[in-house]
Amino acid sequence: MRYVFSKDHKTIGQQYFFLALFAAFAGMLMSLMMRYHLVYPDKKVGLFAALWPSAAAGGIMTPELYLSLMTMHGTIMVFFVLTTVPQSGFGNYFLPLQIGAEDMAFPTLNMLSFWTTLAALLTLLSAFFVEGGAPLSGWTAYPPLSALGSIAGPGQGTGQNLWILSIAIFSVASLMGAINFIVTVLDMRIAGMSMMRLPLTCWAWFITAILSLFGFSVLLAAGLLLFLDRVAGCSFFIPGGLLVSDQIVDRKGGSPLLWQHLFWFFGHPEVYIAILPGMGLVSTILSVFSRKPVFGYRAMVYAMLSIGFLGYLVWGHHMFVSGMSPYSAIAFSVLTIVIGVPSAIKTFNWLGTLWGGKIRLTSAMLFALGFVSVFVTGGLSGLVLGQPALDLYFHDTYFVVAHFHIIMGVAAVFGIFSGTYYWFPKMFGRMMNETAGKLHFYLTYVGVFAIFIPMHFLGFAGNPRRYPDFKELQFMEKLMPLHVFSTHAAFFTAAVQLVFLINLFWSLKRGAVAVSNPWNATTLEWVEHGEVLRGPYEYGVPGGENDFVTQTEEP
Amino acid sequence: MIAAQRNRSVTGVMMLLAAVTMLFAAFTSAMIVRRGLSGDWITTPLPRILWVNTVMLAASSLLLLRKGGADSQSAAPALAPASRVETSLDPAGKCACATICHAEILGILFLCGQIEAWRELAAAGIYLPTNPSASFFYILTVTHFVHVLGGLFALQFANRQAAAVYWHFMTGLWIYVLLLFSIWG
Repeated sequence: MRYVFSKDHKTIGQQYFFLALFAAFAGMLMSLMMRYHLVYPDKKVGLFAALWPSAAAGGIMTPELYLSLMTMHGTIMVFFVLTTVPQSGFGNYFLPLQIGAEDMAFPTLNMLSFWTTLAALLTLLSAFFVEGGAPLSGWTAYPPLSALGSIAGPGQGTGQNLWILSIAIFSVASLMGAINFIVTVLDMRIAGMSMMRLPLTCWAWFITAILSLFGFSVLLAAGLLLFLDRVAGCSFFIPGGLLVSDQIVDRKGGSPLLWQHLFWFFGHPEVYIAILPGMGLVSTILSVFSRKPVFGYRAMVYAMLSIGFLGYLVWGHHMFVSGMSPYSAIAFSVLTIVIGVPSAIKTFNWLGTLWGGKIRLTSAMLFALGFVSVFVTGGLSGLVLGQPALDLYFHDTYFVVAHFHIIMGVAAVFGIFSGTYYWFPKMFGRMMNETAGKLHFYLTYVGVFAIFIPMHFLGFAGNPRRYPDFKELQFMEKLMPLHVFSTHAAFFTAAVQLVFLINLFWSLKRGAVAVSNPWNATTLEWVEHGEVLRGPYEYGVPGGENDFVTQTEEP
Repeated sequence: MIAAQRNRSVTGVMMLLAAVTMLFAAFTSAMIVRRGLSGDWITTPLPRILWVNTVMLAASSLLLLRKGGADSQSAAPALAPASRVETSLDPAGKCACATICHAEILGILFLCGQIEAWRELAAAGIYLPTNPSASFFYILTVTHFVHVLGGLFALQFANRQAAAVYWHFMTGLWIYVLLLFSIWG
């Protein structure tokens, strides 16, 4: 019982970790079902029929079921995996340890954050079990269809209400978490731990918390307005003159674009909420396993700060095709491309950290290197999409699907894996199996590129996204082999994740017992707390018994 | 701890208020955009009682400021729970308690007044979905109402210095909402 309503930051961190592990596998299963249906739309699948007797009667998915899986996959992955593990999971566990605090600033609030997050997840999943099923309008819930209720589709009734409710609860949980993180960093550091001696992980959690604070409050407001459009007869997002499912909608005066502005004002920073903790972690891990200080520590801090700041000025690049003035589009475009500068600074500094180092290719290090690789890959397609002229063509094609999966999904997940292999000894007192870890990395690395590279080509060819199948589209016939390849790669990559899952649970019980500082690291989670005397990355120090000096070691 | 002298509850409240600011900023921007969209905006007549309510809330804030309901605690250890200060025999503590009690009564009167204002609007046939101006009026006032309700609990149970900061902010926020509707309602 002491683990259930625990106020201890370590327990809460683990609770978040396992909640997200469950969510990740649930989301992944949904993606597999979608990928299968995309390429074999006429094949009957017993599992579909068993899970959804009406929506997949006879084993064939309805288009609506496909859309509801897409919505739930996106929502679960973005909120309950990418936002949850890197920040709330690892952050809760390691932020207090790394700054020498006994716990988070407000332990009770911290416990509440976790339980509200769980309530949000259960609310979301319950949408599968109500009349009409899960919502169809994607993780962005664009009105007017998301605002009209069940006339817009089977899941648009109760299912969509539950979606909004879940996101609102999640927003409150994230706000509570964000306040806790910010206050902990500002007020709870041990003597000698100045801001410029913080490990980059702590900087990343701090900046992410600030982004959450400003972003989720706006999402909460937008969600409330959408909810009132649906249940109270208001008209914020519903324009006049709509004819939906042969029914005239009697509301008027609202604008779907208002939702898009509010949503993406949150939605774009959300991308950085998912990726910044990974950046901090990767900086640390590259330094530990190449036995060199982080190249350009201050530049890394300022780069993260400017990515966070610029992230709030670019939401319009999601709306290039919304009919916005070309002058606004240019402004949003320039600001978007400018984010390439701090991102490049980070990338070059990562390479600079590696240069001439004594590199040890542990599982954690491999995933950190993989993070840099996919971050660059996804970043480059971002530069393409950031230009209005190109985005007009690529908008709503599989090029976009490839881009955001690589940069937001895969990069952040590689960060999560890297952190898991690196911190597992601290979190659970045992080592994970390195052979299985390396196998997991190499196969996953090949797998994700095999899934997503073909999608870039599909995008070039004009393949629209959010279509449940392509049977009616003649021009798609010659492209289907790419989709088939992608689907096979997805099943392969998903199977590889079982290696990780087995390794994780096997190591929990049977892994080799970890020594107190297995990676010879310098930061406070591995050493006894005391006054902090130096920065976090003193590696490759010549002359001593060890090649590193911890943050608390006497000179 | 580096910042042991700083009251971490106050830092926390500052962050909470940053989020509240963003919440109301989002509503405000939505309101201004929605107002400019189409011709269905009908200015909501502000019930007169709102001005009485404003005086109530401002008075409760002033009371906290003048009697130093918040400051009396600064003599006590910053991180001590409020209850420990209350049970001390320190007469300044008792005085602070009475001040807070008065401030809370004024706060409750404000909330009752807000409910009365909604009743007046409803009696005049102005409901949440009646027109977009009314929608925003109800949304902003109800959201503010809920936050003031939270403030009452904070004054009673939370760190006093932090609760006072929050309470003053709620007063300022109310004046903002009122001005917003006086100008653009």
